[in-house]
Formats: sequence, C-alpha cells, structure tokens
Amino acid sequence: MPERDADVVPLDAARRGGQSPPTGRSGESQPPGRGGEAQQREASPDDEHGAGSQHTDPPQADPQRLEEVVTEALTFLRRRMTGAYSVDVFGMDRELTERVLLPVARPLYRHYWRVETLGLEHVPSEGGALVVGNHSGTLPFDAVMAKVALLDDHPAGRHLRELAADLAFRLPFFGPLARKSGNTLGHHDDAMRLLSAGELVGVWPEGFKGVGKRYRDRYKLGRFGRGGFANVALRTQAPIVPMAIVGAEEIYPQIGDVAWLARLFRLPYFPVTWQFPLLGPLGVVPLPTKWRIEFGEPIDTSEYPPEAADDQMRVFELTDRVRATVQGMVDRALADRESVFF
Amino acid sequence: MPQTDGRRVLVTGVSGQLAGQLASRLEDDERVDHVIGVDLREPGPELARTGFVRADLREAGMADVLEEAGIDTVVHTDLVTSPAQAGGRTPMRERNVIATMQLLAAVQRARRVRRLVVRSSTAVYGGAPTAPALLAEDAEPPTRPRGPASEDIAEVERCVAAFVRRRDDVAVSVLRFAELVGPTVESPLTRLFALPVVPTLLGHDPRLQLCHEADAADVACAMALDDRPGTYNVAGPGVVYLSQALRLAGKPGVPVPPGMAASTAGLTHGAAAVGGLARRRVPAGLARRGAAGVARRGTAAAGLARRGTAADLARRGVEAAGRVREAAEADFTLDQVELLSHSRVANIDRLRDHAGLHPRFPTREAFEDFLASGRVTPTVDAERLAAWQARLARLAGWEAVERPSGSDSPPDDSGPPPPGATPGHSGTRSTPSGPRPTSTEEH
Repeated sequence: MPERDADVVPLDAARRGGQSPPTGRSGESQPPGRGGEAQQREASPDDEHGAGSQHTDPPQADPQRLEEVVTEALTFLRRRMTGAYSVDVFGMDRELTERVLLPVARPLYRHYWRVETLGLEHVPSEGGALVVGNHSGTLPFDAVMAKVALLDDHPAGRHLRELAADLAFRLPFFGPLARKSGNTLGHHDDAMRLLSAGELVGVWPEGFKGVGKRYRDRYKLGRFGRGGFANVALRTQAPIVPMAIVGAEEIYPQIGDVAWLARLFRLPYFPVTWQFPLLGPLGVVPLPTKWRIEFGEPIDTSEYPPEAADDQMRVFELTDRVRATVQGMVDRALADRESVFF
Repeated sequence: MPQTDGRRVLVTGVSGQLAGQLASRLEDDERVDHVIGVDLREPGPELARTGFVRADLREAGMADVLEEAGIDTVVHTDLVTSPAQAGGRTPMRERNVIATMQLLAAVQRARRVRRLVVRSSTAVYGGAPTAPALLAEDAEPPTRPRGPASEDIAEVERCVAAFVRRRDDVAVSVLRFAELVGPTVESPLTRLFALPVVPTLLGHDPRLQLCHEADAADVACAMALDDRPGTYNVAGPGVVYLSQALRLAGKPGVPVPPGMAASTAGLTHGAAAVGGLARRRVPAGLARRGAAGVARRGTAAAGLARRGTAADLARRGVEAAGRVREAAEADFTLDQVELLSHSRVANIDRLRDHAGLHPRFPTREAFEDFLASGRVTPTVDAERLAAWQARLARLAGWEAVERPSGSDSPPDDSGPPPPGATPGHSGTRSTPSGPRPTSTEEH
C-alpha cells in the first residue's frame, strides 16, 4: 500500500520547484509556462495551421480568418483524399495523428481527466530516450494520455512512439489506427530502430497483465517482462525516463475477469468492471478520475559498460531498478493525492 | 575488349518484364560477352544481341545449353505469380518448383558456372501481427505463407539453400523483391489497381512496400556481374498504406469482411464463370427483353416501370457481371488476401550497406510512376477535387484567399506552408521541430 517515507516529499517538491519553470500543481488552469511554450512551438514554419489551433483564440467574427480556416480545412481534406501525405516505415502518419486523432484525445486530457503533467523537463528535447511507465486502466488510455502530454505540453512537442503488444495489431480497425498514431510492435528490432533514429519511445513493460489487473491490485506494479526494454536501452545507450501515471487505475475499476469469454474472443482478459457490463453500452464510459502523469529523473544508461546488454544479470538489475523507481513515484503520487476524482 | 574475360550470362524467363530489362542492361554492359535468354515465349524485339533458346525449364536439357554456350552466370527470374498465368495451380507449381529444381541440377553439373542469381519475393515472409515492422533477411518467417505464389517461392528458396550446400564454389544471390511496379509491369497487384473499385479487407490497412522495375533490373544486373552472395531484400525505401495507394490512384476501396475474403478466390472464379456466361452466351437482346418484361409486370406499381429503366438495369447487370469477371482476371488468390491483410515490409539495410546498392525509386515514387503510365484511370480525380474546391471558394467570394492554395498543381498541393523538406522515406528520423511531412516534393 502507498506508504511514503518522510524525506521523499520534500525532495520531490524541491526538484519540482528547482528545475521546472513554475509548473503549477493545479492541473486545470494552464500553468504560466505552458502557453508560452506552445506558442513558441507553433512558430515553426510548417506548423502554423497545425496541431495547436485550440491555443489561439481567433476573433470569431473575422471573415478573413474564417476563409483561411475553411480553405485550410478543405485543402487538408483534399490532400487526404488524394493521398498526398507521407508515413514513415513503421506506418506513423503524423498529419493524421496531429490533426485528427489528437484533437479527439485532447478533450479527454484537458477536460475529462484533467491530466496534470509534471517533470516534463526530465524528458530530453531531442535524441532517443525510453519512457517507461506503469500500465493500468483495463483499456490502455494511459498510453494515449502520455502521448498527448508529450506532444502538447513538452516544449519540443515530441511524438511518443509506443511499443504495443501484437494483440493491438491483430485487432481490425484498431490495429491500423494504432500504427498510424505511432505505435509499433514491442519487438527488439523495432525498438532498436526507433531509438537509433533518435525517437522518443514509450514502453509499458507490464504489458496486458498491467492493463488488466484487478482493482484490489491497483498501483502494484507487475513483473517488468523479460527486461527487453533494458536490453535495448543499454545497447543504444538511450536514457530511461521513468513515468508514473496515477488516476488511470480507477477509470474502469476491474472487479472480475470472465476467462471463458476472454478465450472465446482470444483476448488476454474479459473485464467485469463496476460499470461494465452492468450499465450495458454506457459501461464503456470511463470514470472521470483526476490524473497525474509524472516523469522522473532519467536513468543514464551510458554509465553502464557497452557489454552490459549481453550480461543478463545487469539487464535484470537495470529492469528492477527502473521498476522500483516507477513504483516509488507512483506511491508518492498516491500519498499526495487527496481524492480520486478531484 | 578482352574476349577471354567476357561474361556469358544465361537469363531464364527472358520474355518477362524483369528479365527483359535485365537482359538489355547486360547487353549494354561491356563486361558481358554474350547473353542467352531462355523461355517458352520469344522475347520482344528490343533484345538485339541476346541469343534466344526456346526451352521448357521443367524438362532436362539445360545442362547442354549451359555447356555449349559456356555460361558462367545464371540468372533465374522465371517465376509465375498466379495460377491463371500458368493455366492452373499444378502447372504453376511445376513451372516454379520443378523448373527450379531442374535448372539447379543442370547448374550443379556445369563446372563453368560461378554465379547464380535467383529471383524470390518478400512474399516468403508471409505476414503476421507478431512480426517486427521491418523484416530482415535472416528473420524467422512469422507464419507459413499460404498463397500459391508465396508457397512456391518458399519452396524455391529451400531448393536454392540445398544447392548452396552442394556447390559452395558458386556465389549464389537470392533477391527477395517487394511487389514490382512500374510502367510495364503486369502483376496481380497492378491488375488490382486497374479495377474500377478495389477490394480491400474490412478493418485492415497494410503498409505496402514496392520495388520499381528499373531498380529491380539494376539490382539483378549488379548482382549478376559482381560477387555479392547472400540473400537480399530489394525494395524502394519507405511505405505507403494501401488506403493511401488507393487515394493516390483515385480508386474507391470496397472493404470485404476478412472471413469472406479467404474464400474470395473461389467466389470470384465462380462469379467469373457466371460473368463470362452472361456476357458471351446469353444474347444481350434476350436478356434485355426478358428483364424488361419482368420489370413491366413487377414494378408497375412502384411507378418505375419505364421500359428504358428496365433495359438500362439489365444492361447494368450484364456490365456488373463483366466487372466481376475482370476482378477474377485480376486473380484474387490467397496471395492477394495475404498482401491486403498484413504488412510485409522488408528491411533493405543489407542491400544498401553490404551490397552498396541503393534503389532510386522510393515506394511512393515507384507507385506514382506506375500510375503515370496511364494504365490506371482514376475514378476519383484529384484535379476535379481541386476544381470543386476552387468553385466553392468562388461561390463564397473568396478569390483572394483561394488562389494561392487552390491553383497549385495536384502533385504539389501541400497547402500553404512552405515545403518542409521532409522526404517521405526518412520518416524514422525526427527533426526537433516536430516535422509535418509535406507531400511529394522529392521528385
């Protein structure tokens, strides 16, 4: 259970106060630093009509502005209809992600779960890095929210490239969408390639066991896989940024698992939550909990010798170290939390 | 030119597009003394200096040809990719597998042969959600391929692997080409895009990786002339989604439920028979009269009973049957179902780093070059869309704003922002500003 040691909170607070610009703890109101960063990012030449159109507040009555918006929207639509866009080899469609998918996820981030994002200064602005987080929530909304956080609120507006389980790509409709939004398979080759290319890679080593854990096991981190992520980080010497997500466990409090239905649909679990299937289709509406995503101090893997990746003991050591770090961050955040919903 | 050093190359399947281009490149190369083409059909007239041998590879006899011509390099490109092309599954398998076995047996005997290049395909990888985004040559195939062509290709590769063990003094290169496209390539894939509407799998949108025919011929030529033993993936850099390819081609996709698609091969062949019957056997006039009669009686109440409408409907029915027939001729086998359901994107690092060969056409450009050949008539026209937008803007009285974005030519319509100089195929690299990939400016 979340038990905090007395010296941890001040340290945490000190770090937060010391390194970040005044990042307010109140998540709903925009911290002063945030707007400026967003503006700065939008000033980049190819982004003027782009992702952040909700930041600018145009005078609604201006006809010139309306023309621009409509013309831009039509041109965008036409570009999509004629295939004049490009995707990377993993299948990520940045345009679709920024202009169609993120605008859908953004209201969830800002208004529904009111995500409070801390420690963004720990995520490097460029170069490869591995963000390692705790997984929860029955449906992996936590990955989506982490993506929004890093694209919208990180000064460099980084795209998080998530490593997903093969189940994600097995599902019709969802699979192609996952790829287009930047997911790829949690496979050694894919992770190596992304990190070597200097991408920000997100991994949830608990996998589906983490997403599908019971409510009574909430915020208890599961096993961190076979340490594949640590191996890749050691090989590419990419820093590991621990990430703790609090609030996602309670969106679908899972009280049961119907094993035979899971087998029938070839799913890792078939959840019974407080809402589902009791409320029928309404049961898929997640609860409006209050979220907090915190990025911790990066773990520098370049201090390990290059041959460490082949030393399985070292790999497990690093895996455990990351897991303990994330668990510690989760516990602290839980201790700080006053209410699940506010 | 030192006569003694000249290479003597034998190319199988020489009347095929790939082999034809390869042979003409070999003819032009000064290191090559003599090119011999083998096939059942005579190649086109453009191969002036290539000696043609009409032979059936399935039968023994190649050993003599190899011996008499003093061949030192064999390029095996004869590959049948659809049962329709060979006249059935069994002849197809024979032309792919038995022919390869016969050829390899002959090559094993031919002491002068030092180099063997075999055409394969990335279809050997099958495709599975458990496979990484890019398939490397030495990766374990995630699934056994199920389509007829991919089955055969896997078998051919096994034969070649066995040959490598028997004759280790021969430098063997296996070239796994991605789907070939280009101005002259005829394949199930190109025929698929020639249909007025293209069947896709509901809920699936694979990444396609393509290889331009010119690149394929260049790579095969380089492999034939220099020792680069090993297995290589050959493809253009980058990918396009199937949905994107359809949009580029201006073709609406028709999603088919996957369970149904597995049996689509049978379905389309059945429908083909019906379609053929409707078109040829049943006199069109009779069909029209019959349908008109039915319509007169049946739909009088609905107020639709104009003879013209009924006749029109009948004509459309016959036409639709013809279309289905076309679809069947596009040869929708399990190979295509595999291609349409799973991505199989190969890693071309080895080709670039080990062999030093760099395909010139990225996947997207290769596809656009195929479209530019004029064999695909867009159902949805990009220029018309642009015109519509312009007209809409004029209606609203927005000439001033509309002009800069509305009047640009379709390939360059990346909208108002200046080209961000982000080549489509280098998407794995991120630039700090968070790049918005712009369109096709890397021509």
